[in-house]
Amino acid sequence: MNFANFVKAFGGKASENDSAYTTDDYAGAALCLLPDDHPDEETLAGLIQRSVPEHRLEEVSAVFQQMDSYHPSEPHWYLPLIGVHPAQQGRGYGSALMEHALFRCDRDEKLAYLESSNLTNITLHQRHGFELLGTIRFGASPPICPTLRKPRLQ
Amino acid sequence: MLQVDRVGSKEIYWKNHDNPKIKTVTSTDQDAAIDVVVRAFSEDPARPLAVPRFEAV
Repeated sequence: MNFANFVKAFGGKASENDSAYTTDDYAGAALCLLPDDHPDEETLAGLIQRSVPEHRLEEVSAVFQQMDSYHPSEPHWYLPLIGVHPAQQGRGYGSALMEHALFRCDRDEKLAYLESSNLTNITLHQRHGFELLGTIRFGASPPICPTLRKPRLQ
Repeated sequence: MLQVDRVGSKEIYWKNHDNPKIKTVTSTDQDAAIDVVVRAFSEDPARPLAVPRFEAV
């Protein structure tokens, strides 16, 4: 599967709603979904159906269901895709992107939610005020950690 | 000006570099933003779960 199609289906709405951010040199970007926005689940389901071997579909489906279950019921910003080019990591780009997005969350007094799929990033997320909600793990899938951040008064 | 971490290697790095400037993605640079996210998540442990065979473009 073309991974870009997956990313577009997951976070493409962000660029339609001024909630996608990038560093000016494109070393990193953040695709953030506003409270009323959602990933394009129909497209995602089709992509996964075609990409994942049949014997693993149940496992992948279970992981996505668990991810859904951790989303807060209150309106919240969803920050599913914040990434920095591998050659540029460790230079503060991710932190700067996150800070920029969280400034808007705080201004709008909204919760921020994200899943940390890379355990090495959890410290970064906690430093920005995210609290661990649990761990998602099913079958041979890697651990995914849902986290939630309350808005800070400005 | 955005703040970045002032500890460890980042402190040394940002002594010699400007802090990263963040801008809102528009239709003209949407593809560049998507591309860097794709590159970033190419090495994410969870990426193979949904996309076992990685093709960046």
